[in-house]
Amino acid sequence: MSKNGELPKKFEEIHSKIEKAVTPYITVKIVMPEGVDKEEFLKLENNDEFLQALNGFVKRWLKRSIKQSRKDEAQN
Amino acid sequence: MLSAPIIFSLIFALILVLLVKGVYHRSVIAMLGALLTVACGLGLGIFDMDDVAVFISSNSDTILLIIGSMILCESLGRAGLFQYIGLNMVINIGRSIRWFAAVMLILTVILAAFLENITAMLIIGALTLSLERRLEIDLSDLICYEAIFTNIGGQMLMISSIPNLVVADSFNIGFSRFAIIGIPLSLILMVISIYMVAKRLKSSPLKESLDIDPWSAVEDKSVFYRSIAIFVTVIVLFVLNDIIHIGMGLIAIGGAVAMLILSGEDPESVFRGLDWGTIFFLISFFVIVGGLERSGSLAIFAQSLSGLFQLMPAFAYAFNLLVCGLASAFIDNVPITITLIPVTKYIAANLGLDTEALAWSMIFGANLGGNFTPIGSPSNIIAIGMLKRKGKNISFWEWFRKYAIFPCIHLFLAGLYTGLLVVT
Repeated sequence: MSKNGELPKKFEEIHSKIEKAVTPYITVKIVMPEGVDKEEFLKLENNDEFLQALNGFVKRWLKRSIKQSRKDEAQN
Repeated sequence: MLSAPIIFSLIFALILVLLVKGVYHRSVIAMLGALLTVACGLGLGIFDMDDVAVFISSNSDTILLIIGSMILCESLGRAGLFQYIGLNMVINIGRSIRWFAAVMLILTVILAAFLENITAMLIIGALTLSLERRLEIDLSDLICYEAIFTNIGGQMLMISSIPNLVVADSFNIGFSRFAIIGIPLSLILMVISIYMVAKRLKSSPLKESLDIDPWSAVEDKSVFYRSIAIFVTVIVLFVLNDIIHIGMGLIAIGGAVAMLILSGEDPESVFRGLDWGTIFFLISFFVIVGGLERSGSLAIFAQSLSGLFQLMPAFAYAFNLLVCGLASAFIDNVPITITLIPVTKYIAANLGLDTEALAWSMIFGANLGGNFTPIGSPSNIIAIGMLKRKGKNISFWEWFRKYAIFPCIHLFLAGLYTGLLVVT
């Protein structure tokens, strides 16, 4: 371990496990769609508005899929 | 021509200077020192290679114990035990920042009692950073306090830190005896320090209570339970060792082998996670101190100190505590303790002092003194690194100004406690 403030590699391993428990998250790979500007696409990774919209999409998606599975259960 | 004691003392001084400067990894510096020691010892005809092997093998139980404990703790960490305990404790953090800080600091002491300082700080620091984001509060100060508290937990048990293992092995202090003496002082220091921290923190409410599933830190429950069973067995055997006399090193290695077989962890990956640098550092220092002893340097040093302490023998306890404490603020505490062990034995025999109390003063000094400076202990360095990552730089003097009061009080109380050990 260096004295100049570099954290050991082990820290990332421990931190990501704990981070996932404290604030659960998933990592999704989104492939660049055809016909979009590459630079603009790559910027989305740090675009708060886009991430917020994705968050809303996840909520709607889960709500819809839970509704659907309940419907399927009722039919069976 | 220089005499042998002067040559070996110069090698030792060179190594200490290099360690303070930190130009190379500490294990490399120690290996260089060991190499110079062997070369000079062979060249001057003071010892041969068989003697070098004896320098190391006479400490084999300590080395085995350290390797075994490292494998056990690495496997337990991978099984998620310490993360699970941490997450469980913070679920009910209450709604006050002071209560939250107290829980985190108690958790720090518990982790540091069972893990080496570095791993304990990595876990508690990672947990704090994650909670900081979740709770949307600034916990920078708490990270520094946690670093300080790892050194309080580090003197609790024999397996809590390397100086504990080395000193306990040299002075035949068993696991139970260590716990009986070490735990009360650690608890006293913990309570007083939590009070000091609470006084410094503003009493503000927390925004939310946490909804965390502690099991999410555990990948495989069966590995988790098996790892705990092996660890508990090892601790029980450590306690029973005073009766069964198997040897702590053998118990730790036995536990490590059982863990590697039964935990399901990939051994290669566990081995990669071990702190091999510390092991090489330790072995090299056994050679350096062996050379110092053989050359007569340590005997001369011990005789001079004995002459000084003859006037006031009680000063020997304070000397051990303060030398270990103040030196640990700038240099690794392991070389200091290894070097002082033969000196302490000599002084105790020469002046008829309480050998065990002298050993305890070394343990307390070595563990607590590191908190004087940001470079005094690995956990302090990690805390500084975490703050740096958050964009906050804390200077040497800022650390000293804000936190040096803690080791001052800790060493003062440890001194009183050592005095009690001598009297009772």
